[in-house]
Amino acid sequence: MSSEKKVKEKKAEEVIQKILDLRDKGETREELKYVSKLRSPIVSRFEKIKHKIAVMSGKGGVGKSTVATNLVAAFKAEGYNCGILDADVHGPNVPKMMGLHEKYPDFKGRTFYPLETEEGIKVWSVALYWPSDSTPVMWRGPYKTRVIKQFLAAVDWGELDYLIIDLPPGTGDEPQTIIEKIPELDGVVIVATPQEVALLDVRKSGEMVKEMSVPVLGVIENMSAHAICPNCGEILKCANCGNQVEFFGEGGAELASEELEVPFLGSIPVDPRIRTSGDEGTPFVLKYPDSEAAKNFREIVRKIEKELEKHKPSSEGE
Amino acid sequence: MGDDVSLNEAALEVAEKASRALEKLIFSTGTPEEVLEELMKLNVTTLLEENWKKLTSDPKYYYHLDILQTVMTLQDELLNQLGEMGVDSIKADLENLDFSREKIANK
Repeated sequence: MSSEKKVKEKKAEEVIQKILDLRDKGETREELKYVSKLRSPIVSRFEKIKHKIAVMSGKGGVGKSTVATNLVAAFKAEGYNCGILDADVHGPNVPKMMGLHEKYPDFKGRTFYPLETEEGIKVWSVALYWPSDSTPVMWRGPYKTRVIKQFLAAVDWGELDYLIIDLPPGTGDEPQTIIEKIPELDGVVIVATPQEVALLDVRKSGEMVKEMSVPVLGVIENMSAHAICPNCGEILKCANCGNQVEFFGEGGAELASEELEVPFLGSIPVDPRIRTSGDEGTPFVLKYPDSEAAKNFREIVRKIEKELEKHKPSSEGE
Repeated sequence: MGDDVSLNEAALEVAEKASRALEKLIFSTGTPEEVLEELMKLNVTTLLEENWKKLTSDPKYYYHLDILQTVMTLQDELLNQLGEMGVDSIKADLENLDFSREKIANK
């Protein structure tokens, strides 16, 4: 065991003891929850992962998984060792988007082993082991929560620089469980489309994350502003009036980020090649690295890195 | 075919024994610790390991996988679940086990 690990474990044991002493004097639920988190097998699973970033959206259909898969690919392109956990058990699309169709992961000694893409990105998802794409996952409340906890505790990621967690949409039990259980979660990135209704969800998501005392690393506006021609890569313009084609508008997510007082990380234009590359199983940023959207993804990754620096605990590296 | 029969029997036995153990919580005839001990005796890890490829690649084993995964996650989380959500939360697991058991038995 490394000396750094020994020190960490010693500190954790000291904290546990202090809390148990407090409990003896008049326990509270919050303290016990903290102890259970410190002693959870999830903690040891995540020890070798430097950064854990969750990607969430207030509602479905905003392209959260597309953004999550392209973020992990952009981190990989920067030379980092990366993985992605698809925690959306009812809409697990990440393996298909990462080109892992009809490949099966190992299960040994109550441990799940993630699969690796051609680019070397580790992937875990219920879709990797649930038989057939068309078989619905019909898990309900407690069972669903248990499976998610099992993913956190029993998937062996090995050493990673970045783990991206694609959360289920919304602000319900599942995203809350994951945010609460992941030890030292670096923060949450919120994905939204520019319309007014989507922005209400950004605000709700942001407030929920803040309420859980986890940093919001920023907001990404997906399907933003202009659209890109899939053939030539130029901005689409109306053949009649020459104006740019804008499907959902622009700038709303930036406004929401200002209201929430969190960074605006950037916007991703509507580019049909994002969909086709996802369907084909290659993240867009790797397939079209010179496109506007790919450049924006890389810029977003750099902004996230800066945010992580800001939120780094002061004791780290001492 | 023989493999299928033994896997059917094994999954049905796990579901049956797990249900009987969980019912003790509903009827207050066993403590959570006693029920957990009974669940831990069910050898779901070996069954999953030995049949993993079959269970995860063929949709006809959906209900077998569901039973084994239900029990495996209960082995890990029963006490937490009871602490956080109470005994009533076990009813959904009993229904789930019954449903999967019925599906396998009727095939």
